[in-house]
Amino acid sequence: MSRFLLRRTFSAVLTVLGGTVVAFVVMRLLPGDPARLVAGEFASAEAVAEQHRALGLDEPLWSQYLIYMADFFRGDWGFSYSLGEPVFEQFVRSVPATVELAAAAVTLAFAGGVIGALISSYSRGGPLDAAVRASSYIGLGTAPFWLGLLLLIVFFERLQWLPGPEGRLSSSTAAPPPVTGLHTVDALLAGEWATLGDAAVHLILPAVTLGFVIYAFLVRMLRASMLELVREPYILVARSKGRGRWGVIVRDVLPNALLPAITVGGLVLAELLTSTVLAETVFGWPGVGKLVTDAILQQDFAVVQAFIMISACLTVACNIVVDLLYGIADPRVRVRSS
Amino acid sequence: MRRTRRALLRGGGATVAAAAVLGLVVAAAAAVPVLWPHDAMTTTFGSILEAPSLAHPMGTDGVGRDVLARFGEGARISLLIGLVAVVTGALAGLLIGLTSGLAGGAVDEVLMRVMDALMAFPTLMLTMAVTISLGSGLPSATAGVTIGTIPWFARVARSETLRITALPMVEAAVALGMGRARLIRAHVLPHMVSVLVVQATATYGSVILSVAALGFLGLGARVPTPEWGAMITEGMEPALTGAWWVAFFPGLGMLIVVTCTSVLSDRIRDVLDPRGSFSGVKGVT
Amino acid sequence: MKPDTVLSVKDMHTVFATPGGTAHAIRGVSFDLRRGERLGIVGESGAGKSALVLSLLGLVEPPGRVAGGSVWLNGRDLRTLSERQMRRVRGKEISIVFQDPLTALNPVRRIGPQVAEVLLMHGDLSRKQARERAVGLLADVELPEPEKCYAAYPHELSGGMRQRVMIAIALANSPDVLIADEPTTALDATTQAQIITLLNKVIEERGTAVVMITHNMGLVADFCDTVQVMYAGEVVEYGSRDRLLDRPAHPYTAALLASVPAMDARRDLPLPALSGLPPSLTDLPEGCAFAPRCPLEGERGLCRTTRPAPRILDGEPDRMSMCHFSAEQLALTS
Repeated sequence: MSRFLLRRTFSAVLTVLGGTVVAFVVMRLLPGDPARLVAGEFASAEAVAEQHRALGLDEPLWSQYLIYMADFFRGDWGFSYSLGEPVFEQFVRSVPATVELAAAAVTLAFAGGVIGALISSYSRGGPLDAAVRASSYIGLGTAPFWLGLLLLIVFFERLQWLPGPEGRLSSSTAAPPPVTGLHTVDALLAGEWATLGDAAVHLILPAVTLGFVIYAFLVRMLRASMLELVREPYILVARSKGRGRWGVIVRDVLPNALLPAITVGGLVLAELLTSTVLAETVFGWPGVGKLVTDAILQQDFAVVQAFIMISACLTVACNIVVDLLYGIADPRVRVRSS
Repeated sequence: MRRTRRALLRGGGATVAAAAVLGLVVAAAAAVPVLWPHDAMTTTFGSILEAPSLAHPMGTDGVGRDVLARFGEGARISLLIGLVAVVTGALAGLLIGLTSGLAGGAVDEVLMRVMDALMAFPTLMLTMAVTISLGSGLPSATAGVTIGTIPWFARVARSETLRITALPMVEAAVALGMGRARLIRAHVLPHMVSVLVVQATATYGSVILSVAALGFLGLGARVPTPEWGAMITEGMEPALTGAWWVAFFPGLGMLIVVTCTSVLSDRIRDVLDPRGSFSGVKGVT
Repeated sequence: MKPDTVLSVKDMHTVFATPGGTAHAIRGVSFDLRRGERLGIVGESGAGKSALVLSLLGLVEPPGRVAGGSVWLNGRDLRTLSERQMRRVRGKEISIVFQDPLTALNPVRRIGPQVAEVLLMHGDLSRKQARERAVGLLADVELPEPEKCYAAYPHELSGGMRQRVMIAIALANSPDVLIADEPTTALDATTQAQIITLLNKVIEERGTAVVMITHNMGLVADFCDTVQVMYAGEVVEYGSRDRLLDRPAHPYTAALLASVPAMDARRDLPLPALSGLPPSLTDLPEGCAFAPRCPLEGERGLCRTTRPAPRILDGEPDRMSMCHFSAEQLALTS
């Protein structure tokens, strides 16, 4: 087990390094001169040259990369000139909003995916199954920013049931005392029920938007693997013991289908990272995604570069965790690798 | 070939419907810019944000341009960019995969490590990085999404190359002195086509979504260009004050194209990959 | 129906919808099973054996359906029961051992709970009692260290041990009828013999009636009291084991026997080995389904045009053959 883990980690580290090299090289091909951006448009040639040296831009590319990586892992992610503060601090400030949104979205998506897959395998080939399949195709074919906008048109502009794109709280509501940084949890901890309600209604549409794509992905995968599993002899055996159709699907098929679902954790994370950039922008949600889109509009690419680096590290880390979890969850793998 | 076509059609209502609807969008892309009297770029300040009517079936946008005309242009842009990206990506991926699979050893190792590195982060991130470094705009966005597809094609092409060259029939041919060029021509490429087609149809929809996402983020098409993603960005403000149609139709077009291609792609996979097809009453009799 | 009959199948029909048309998997199968009887059902693959198993358990699912007939078990027709009532019958009054013990157990659950759940589903047991009973059952099927087996995962047991577990599950509630669907096919020869010895023991203890589905004539000769031969969804011959194996009255039975090399001195049978394939179930011939492959000599227009009726043989009340020329076939071996 530990040797397997070691090898896995080694190859993952190689992949991360490769990924960061690609990100670094691509970003350094940028047309603009970062030194001029930092020094300002009206800086003298000497000032620019000074900045050039300060940023290490006259070093060879490989050494620039090493410096960047060393800085990156020390928490020095560069300087955002558009906001005039270190990139790292901006991320620290934005992460809780994104975590709150992502957690809500994944919870919704997972619950929806499991329910959808159960319905699908119970009424295989029937109209409900067709509806679930159609919803999955639509989810995979919808741009998250468009879906978010549609939801806003219906629930905010027309029905006025839910708040518009104003972020995590109404302007009249003060943020709860920060503990976790997640407004819903913090409000709960502080017992501020009005704030909790406000945070929750603001969360609904962004979470549905972000969750729908992930739901579509999960339900498609779960449905396929459950329909495959239904044909296994042990399912017939379970039926022959006197278990009903629904009972078999819930107790014998679903657990076995959830197991391989762990393996797509990395893909779900990738989808989450991508969609959060698009969804947060629509709702004015002050998370990492909005930070990145704002930075793009400001041509402030240090932020974008940091985000791409983080995405690479997170995805690879997630894949390692997935491998580990799978080893723990599946008794067959557990034995083989020990 | 005829058998394949018949099998494709036998897939039932969904397949036929998807093909028909996709055909409609393609027809719109071809016909609207030519036949529709309104121009996609002409602003008419007398008719700003008009709701859909007979004169403007999809309404007009914030500067009085006809949304249907822009929708048609947008369909052209999306469908063409998708095609260019997928074909280029498939060819590049094929080249890399073939080289990797046939050369083996260090070449294989290096190429696949690079592909792994490209796949280490979400496709849209890679696409964003490439687009930013080339300077935003539609051509860079196209290049970005194309590069994003390459590793997927390369991986499929490599594993298929390895599978085919390991077939006893092919091993025998090589043992009898068949040259590498003929090996590729006679065995590898013909078998590869179907796998690449499946991968290409599956990729097409996501490429279109990526281009639109770049347009939405301001990295793709520039503002007056009637690209679907950029049109949605332009339509956001009006949508929140009642003019839903500016952003609605381009998004709908995207949804239709992507959904139909993925329905067709699944069907093509079922037909070209017999393992997924109907297995009769096997296991029952 | 005789008084000690536990299971009585009457004119069962099962069909499957396929792209090539309706497949008639079971075409009018009838038989009675007495308490403690061991009935062998033999035939090539595709003869409808597995469809018969599913039909008996009421587990035929779309695209298939049972199109007609009745299944009488303990005085009521299972076909008239609701799915809810039927669930109380499965695993309690009728149960099954499948061919492949590797895939018949859920790979990600421990053995014990898979045995215990069939007890819990049908009895008023506490979890603890069910656990004790399950360990006892594992001991009954002669698994070494039943406690250890209880906590094991299926992949940690050998094929023979897994099949013992399946038998424990099937017999947990002492059912009236046990269906054994090729129970030894996936096992090696030594294990096969052990499993059959075990089956003999446990069903004798419980007086269980057995329907043994197999294509293995040797197993039939060793284990069964009565035999029923299936071809293309029909029972073409029925009789006691000794009579049927010694003097087949249907040319298909004779051909099956001839294809078993080490049976006994049946080599003198003037029959070529069976050639050709069973007919397509979606496109059955008009007359006798076996006619295209029938090795009986001569021009037989009758076989090509008229479907033979099941006929009781002269002087043998418990024997049936569905052949126009049973007498000639019998004459070949007398």
